[in-house]
Amino acid sequence: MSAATLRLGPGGKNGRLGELPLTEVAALLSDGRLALQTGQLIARIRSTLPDVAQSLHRLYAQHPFFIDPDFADFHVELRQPMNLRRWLRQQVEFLIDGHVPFEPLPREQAPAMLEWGLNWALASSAHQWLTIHAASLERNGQVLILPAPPGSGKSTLCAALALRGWRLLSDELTLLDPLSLHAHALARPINLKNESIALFRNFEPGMSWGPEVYATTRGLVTHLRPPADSVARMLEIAPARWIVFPRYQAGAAPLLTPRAKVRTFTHFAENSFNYSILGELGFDAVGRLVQQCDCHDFEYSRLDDAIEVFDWLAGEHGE
Amino acid sequence: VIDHRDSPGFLWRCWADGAVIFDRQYGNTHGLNRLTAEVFRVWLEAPSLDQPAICQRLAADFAEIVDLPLAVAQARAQLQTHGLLR
Repeated sequence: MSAATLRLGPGGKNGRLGELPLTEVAALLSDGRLALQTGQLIARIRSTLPDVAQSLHRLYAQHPFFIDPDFADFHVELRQPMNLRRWLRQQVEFLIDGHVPFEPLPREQAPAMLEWGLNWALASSAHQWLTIHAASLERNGQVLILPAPPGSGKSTLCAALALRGWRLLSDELTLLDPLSLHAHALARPINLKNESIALFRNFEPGMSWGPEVYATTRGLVTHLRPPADSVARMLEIAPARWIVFPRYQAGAAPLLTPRAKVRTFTHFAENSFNYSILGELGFDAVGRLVQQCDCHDFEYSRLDDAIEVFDWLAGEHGE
Repeated sequence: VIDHRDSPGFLWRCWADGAVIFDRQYGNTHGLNRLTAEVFRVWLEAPSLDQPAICQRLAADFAEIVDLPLAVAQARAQLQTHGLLR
């Protein structure tokens, strides 16, 4: 990265996107000159869509940015496809390196599609890490991994912990160095759906949100800006320590139970984006990960109960 | 981490509840319960053993299983389904 491409803010530190006026962000995006850093990755983004500029300006306000960087890990674009749909029900498509990897979505989903597209880009190409479909957070120098199927309350729990003292690494993609088993952060916005949205507007008033859109397959979705401290510390890595499979169950008392290692391993083998690509390295990494972590299932209904349990885990059993 | 069962054909990771095996030829991963993993280990060591002989080898470690011959037969069937017994 050349120094000339890095916009410096007050005190000579990296500039943060929120320091730019929205009009300048929109102009840079429109020209394809803006790149954002999330963790160790840099994504160069092009879009003329005003809601994408607004969403980025709000959700990535704390993130470092670059103008005309010499290098970016991903070159992505969001645009309206040049088909008849642009006159009827408008759509938006996601491009990476000029290619369209999946079908267009309704136009109003553009900001959310950028997040999903970046997830896809990362999961399909960042093979320097073992990339697991799981949330991850850090406390006292140790990392908690929350793998779970959709609907289990993973993102909800992740958001609650991130707003109550745990450092957010990622709500969706856990990145592990396959040799050291240290987790790397992305510190990107947290994807929340349906009832969780209203829950968090009360849980932590004053947070910044992306636009709410109705996506047919997911219901109502939006993104929550990551905590500033998580973004400021996004280059800090830490070893994996706990693997907890959460399950929201209405009315349930919090219950943390040991989980079998073989079951945990097979879940990771089936829910890592690049386990098969890594071959024996992936097998060895998951084996050591499961061996070194305490593995649990966790049933809960109230977020305050869950936070108490995880704080206890980090405090009493974190040594 | 090297497991003492690792071989040119398979990598093993073993825990109290069973084992996970990586087939180095095909790149497949198999999660096996403790009995099935032990049946596979015995078969790798002595492929010519018949079922009564396998049961005899495992009887002391799996005394809690009431019908061991049936359980071993099921384990062998599972290993065949996995493509591990060829």
